[in-house]
Amino acid sequence: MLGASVLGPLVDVTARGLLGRRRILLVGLLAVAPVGVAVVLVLGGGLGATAQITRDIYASLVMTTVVPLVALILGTTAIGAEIDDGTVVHLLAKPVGRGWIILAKMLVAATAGVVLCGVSVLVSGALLVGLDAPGLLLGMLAGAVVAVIAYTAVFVTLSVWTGRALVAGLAYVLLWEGFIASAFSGTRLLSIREYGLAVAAGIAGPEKGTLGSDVPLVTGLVLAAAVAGLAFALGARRLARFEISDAG
Amino acid sequence: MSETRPAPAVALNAVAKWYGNVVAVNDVTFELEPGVTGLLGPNGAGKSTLLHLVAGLLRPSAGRVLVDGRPSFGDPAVYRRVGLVPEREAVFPYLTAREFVRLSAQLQGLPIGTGAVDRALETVELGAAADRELSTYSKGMRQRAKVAAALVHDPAVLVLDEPFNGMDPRQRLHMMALLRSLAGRGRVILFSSHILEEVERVAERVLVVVSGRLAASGDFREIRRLMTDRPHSFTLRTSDDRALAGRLAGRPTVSGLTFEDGRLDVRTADFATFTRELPVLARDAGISIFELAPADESLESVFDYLVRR
Repeated sequence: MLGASVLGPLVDVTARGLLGRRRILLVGLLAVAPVGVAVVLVLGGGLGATAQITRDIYASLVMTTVVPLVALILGTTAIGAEIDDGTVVHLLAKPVGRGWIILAKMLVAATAGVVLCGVSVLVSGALLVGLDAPGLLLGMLAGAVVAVIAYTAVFVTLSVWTGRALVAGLAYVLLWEGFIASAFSGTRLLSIREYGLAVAAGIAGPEKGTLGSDVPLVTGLVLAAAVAGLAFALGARRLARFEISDAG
Repeated sequence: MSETRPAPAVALNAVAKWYGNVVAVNDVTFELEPGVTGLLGPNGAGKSTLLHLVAGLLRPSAGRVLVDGRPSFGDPAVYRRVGLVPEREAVFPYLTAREFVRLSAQLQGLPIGTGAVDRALETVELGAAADRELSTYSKGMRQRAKVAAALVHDPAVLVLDEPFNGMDPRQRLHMMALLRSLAGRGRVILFSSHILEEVERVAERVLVVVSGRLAASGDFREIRRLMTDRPHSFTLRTSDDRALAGRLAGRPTVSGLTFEDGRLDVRTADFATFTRELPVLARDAGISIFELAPADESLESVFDYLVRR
């Protein structure tokens, strides 16, 4: 079978497909939301409160809603849309290791998510705190990046395992991440949101303020990497056994 | 000393495929060698399922599907030897035909600049339109783009699911000539169709699939003879059905007669002789025939007969 030489063409066709779909506009709107909130707050005044507001917006809006939903839409579209419309057959009927296909999908979804969420965090954060808290900005960026990468890996794999990945992913984001893992401390080790918050707080250092997690920084990084790695392995394994009927 | 026979290019051995309680293919066995084989059957017969099994896109529920002696499913390396033209129209709409075929070449590991992409596009006569997006293509053009993508790596086995769909007559003839040419160069071609005439014109061998089973196989003349020599049913309206029925009842070509609602239904096992005898009998009896219609000329009834044979 072929090796890394197929990654370029796979990334190219995935990126063109992903960015050309209408749902990318929805992703863009989601990513812009924190910037919109920051603009409204800045125009409303109150400099003394903006550093804390920045942390609150990050924890409750960016990391709870924007990052997971952006990752959900990108992750489930990267290969899910091709499975739905049948074009995936043109990739699977080739002597290409299924791991390379999954990797290409994850790379594209994660890169798009990192760019969108990263810019959103940096712009909204800079609007609120300017350059007065560079550690906080860097921490928030790092946390969002780690969370996006782990989320997109999970959602790409989910869309190979089920045709209802969007619904399943939404249930995971709303129920598990949004409620269960937040409410019950014992479950936080199984929460990608907590990994991101742990990285954000760890990188922000003294500027972290109320930003934080029960999960230590290194643990958060390791678990995020483990989740992404496990998702990759499960996705490649499932794709290797994927069947395409005449109904697509 | 015994000779070891080389593995056939494609071999199915007692293959079945089911989805829950639905059996799509049941106990199918055949081998393919270089040449064109047509898979003929009505819609829903299991042709696409069989093609997808051969192409390694489905795991058989029972039996084995082998390409060059290796299982077709679960081994992406098989696609070095196999080119697939799926039935579904879906192609990447944002790619041009050239980009689509180039993608196929790249995923086959073909080096850039060998001209394989251009040759494949010229083979299907898409050279002039190659730089247009596939979203602007007609159904027939997309079909040709899929064929070009499947041919770019010069596969030993080419599997095509309803390849003539959407093609105009000239394109169809060109595609048929292409398939014959490929077969003449030693390629194994397997294509499906529900139209006997399409299969007749290009396939040297025909596999008839009905309700998931292999109902008949052979060259198209044998299949055509089976279909012609089967029992036929006719419906007659005449000036005196009862009198004509009395005359027909004694004929050895007639195997059954039914009166119903002013209509005479006749079954015959010798189609050719019956159609010669009928007008003579009616004329001799002074009976006028107002209507003579075949009652079972649909392809489905032909296939049904082949299954029950």
